[in-house]
Amino acid sequence: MSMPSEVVSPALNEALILYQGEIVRLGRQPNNFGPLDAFNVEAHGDSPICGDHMTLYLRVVGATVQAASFTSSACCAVCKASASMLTDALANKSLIEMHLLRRAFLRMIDLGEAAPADAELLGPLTTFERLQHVPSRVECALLPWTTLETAFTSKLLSEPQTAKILALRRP
Amino acid sequence: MRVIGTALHKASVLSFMVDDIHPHDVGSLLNGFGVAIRAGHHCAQPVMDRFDVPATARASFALYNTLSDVDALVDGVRSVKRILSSH
Repeated sequence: MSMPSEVVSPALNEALILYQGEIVRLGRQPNNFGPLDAFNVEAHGDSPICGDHMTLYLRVVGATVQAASFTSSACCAVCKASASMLTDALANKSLIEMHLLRRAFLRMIDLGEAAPADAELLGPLTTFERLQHVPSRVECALLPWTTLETAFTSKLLSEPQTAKILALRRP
Repeated sequence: MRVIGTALHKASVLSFMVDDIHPHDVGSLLNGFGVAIRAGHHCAQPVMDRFDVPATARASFALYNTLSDVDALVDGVRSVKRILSSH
């Protein structure tokens, strides 16, 4: 067990800042937890490094996500908060908007902060900008989003829906 | 709190779970309090699966650790519970 050579002020400590506000609240009591009634898309995600497992449920009507929910086992507070905010954000989004949201989130994680053009789209999800200071937890926050990627390519989405999203992803 | 491994003459390696808090959260918060532990499956997935324990937090004490280090760990675990425990 290693101990610090100097005591770090908790007020300035990035690891502690991560566990404030919505991340800690939703990590303890996430929204949209549990299988969704009448879902028609189900995608599974695993993080082999962490041992986390999650399932994402979507009810897609036409080209719109009516509702989303998730279940998880052995997932940490960061992963559950991320899944909670993701499923909140997906409700009533078109499949195209769902893809744009995912792309904006991944861009924020890559850059460390939300691009000005993405900030409005991301809304409360910009709280995950804090991960730029805690890179060891990035994978935890990304698991719901990689599971959403699985949903994109799932055969449960109709071929025209998938084709439309895949066309958007081409450079 | 649950200690994993309670043999009488065990080594100075202490695996534990803090209520229903994921060990990665325990590890990150303890890191914030200046205490470094390891968290996860410790490259022992088969035996963890066998006992249905997805991950643990693990403190390893060595020659350079002092009693005040142990106190810092205990204080840190109490703070983790205060921040994240739903109990």
